[in-house]
Amino acid sequence: MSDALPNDAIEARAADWLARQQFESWNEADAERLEAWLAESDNHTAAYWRLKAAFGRTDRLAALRRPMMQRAASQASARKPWTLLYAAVAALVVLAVGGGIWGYQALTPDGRTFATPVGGHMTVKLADGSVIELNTDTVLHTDFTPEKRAVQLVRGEAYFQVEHNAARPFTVTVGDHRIVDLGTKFFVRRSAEQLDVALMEGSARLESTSASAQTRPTVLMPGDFAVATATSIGVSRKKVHELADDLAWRSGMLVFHNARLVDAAAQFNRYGDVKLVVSDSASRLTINGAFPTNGADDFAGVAHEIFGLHVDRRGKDIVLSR
Amino acid sequence: MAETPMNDLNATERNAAGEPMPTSEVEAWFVREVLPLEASLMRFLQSACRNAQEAADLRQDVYAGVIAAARKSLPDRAKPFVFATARNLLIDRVRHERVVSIDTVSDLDELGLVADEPGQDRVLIARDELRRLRTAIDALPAKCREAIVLRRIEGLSGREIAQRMGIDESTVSHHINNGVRILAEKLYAEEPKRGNKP
Repeated sequence: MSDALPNDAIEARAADWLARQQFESWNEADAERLEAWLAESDNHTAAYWRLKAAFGRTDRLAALRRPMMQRAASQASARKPWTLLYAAVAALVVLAVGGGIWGYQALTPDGRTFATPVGGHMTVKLADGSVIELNTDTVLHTDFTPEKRAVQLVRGEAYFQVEHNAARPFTVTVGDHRIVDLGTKFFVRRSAEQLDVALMEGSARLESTSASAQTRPTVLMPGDFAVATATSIGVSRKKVHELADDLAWRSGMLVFHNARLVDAAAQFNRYGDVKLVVSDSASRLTINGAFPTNGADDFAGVAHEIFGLHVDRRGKDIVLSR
Repeated sequence: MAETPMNDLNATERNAAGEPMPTSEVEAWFVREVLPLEASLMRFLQSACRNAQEAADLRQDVYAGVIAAARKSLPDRAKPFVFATARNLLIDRVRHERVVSIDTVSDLDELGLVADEPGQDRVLIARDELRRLRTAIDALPAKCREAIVLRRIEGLSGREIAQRMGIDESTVSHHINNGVRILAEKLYAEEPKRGNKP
């Protein structure tokens, strides 16, 4: 070989460009010099794109700053910023039990708060043997005493496997509604408009806690899928495999059966930074299939192949249209 | 505008006029389709090379070749294309430098690349990504890690990082330079996984 691995030197130079961009002194003249360097050779381009993409992936870590991490970060002392911050990051992972990987907890005077960032998924094993799985972008508060086990779902979606104990009832409060466990597996999803509760095993009672509520408590049986709004509680029956599909996120998947494109897109948008936008002309098309929760790109590809839709990438938006 | 799926290794002609692809599109394609193949590509190259450094050197030549081709038109399927490029480069090296054994080159046919499902390698699970990021960050030398975390999580500028760490800006730059290279090695070294079916 003539040179001693010149590509190694190219990579070092590419990393240097990237490092220099992190400083205030980076300016347009620098940007032009970088463009010129990239234009010199595809070898330069390859090295630079590769490092830039790796560095860009750490964006996901920034998601951890909100909401509680932000506080932790600002409280971090100026002398040892890393130690404290890192302790906080480490705490997230200590919580990862079984399949659940990412989320964090904070201790408050009246209990514990668990949270996951967008794309996160965490399994919490509680001392009483119950297990809670938090889906993407979820915040949940627990307040356990010898007499009661109270959980509050602040936002998002969670799956509960409750160890029944009549002397120490397990309740999940979601806004104006409360679910009282009678020995069960169920999942709860909170959105702006409504609350969905699906029961897999055992039974549970769903009731409104609002004084003005017109609804009566409803006892849910396996296969029941309840939708509660401020003024009503409706219950429909779902087949076991349909409920299993609703819980596919526990394995990092989304499953669709004759789902409208626009609804499927809304599901993906809960899990990642990429935003799928379905134009009106295409919104009524329906799709079947299983995708990873972060598979918005694959989904767009399938929509393109099956329906011949145009896939238009605009920044973090992927626009699907006829 | 449905496209006919193509099973051969030729690039699909997307721009009949022969205009070059926009660079931003080539970059997006490279990041989305090619980089996730790095783990399998490196396994293949390492089996053909004398040492890891040489494999990394070859890798970059493969990427450069792939990018050069993609500028004309994006290959329909990345994986067969990347490995065909790798094979051609290896054959060139055999001819010129006798670096690799002929056996290794012919092994490529047995990898069954053409039969592969498209996109299989780039399916990533969000939580897997976060775990992977943490592992990669953990693996950085302490100073590199501190600089990168301050930059990416705390959002400090280069100068602020220098002040916090009590070092000068060129040293911060050096840590970021070093850190980002190690990060890339770690992040691409692991095979993206498919999620388990429920």
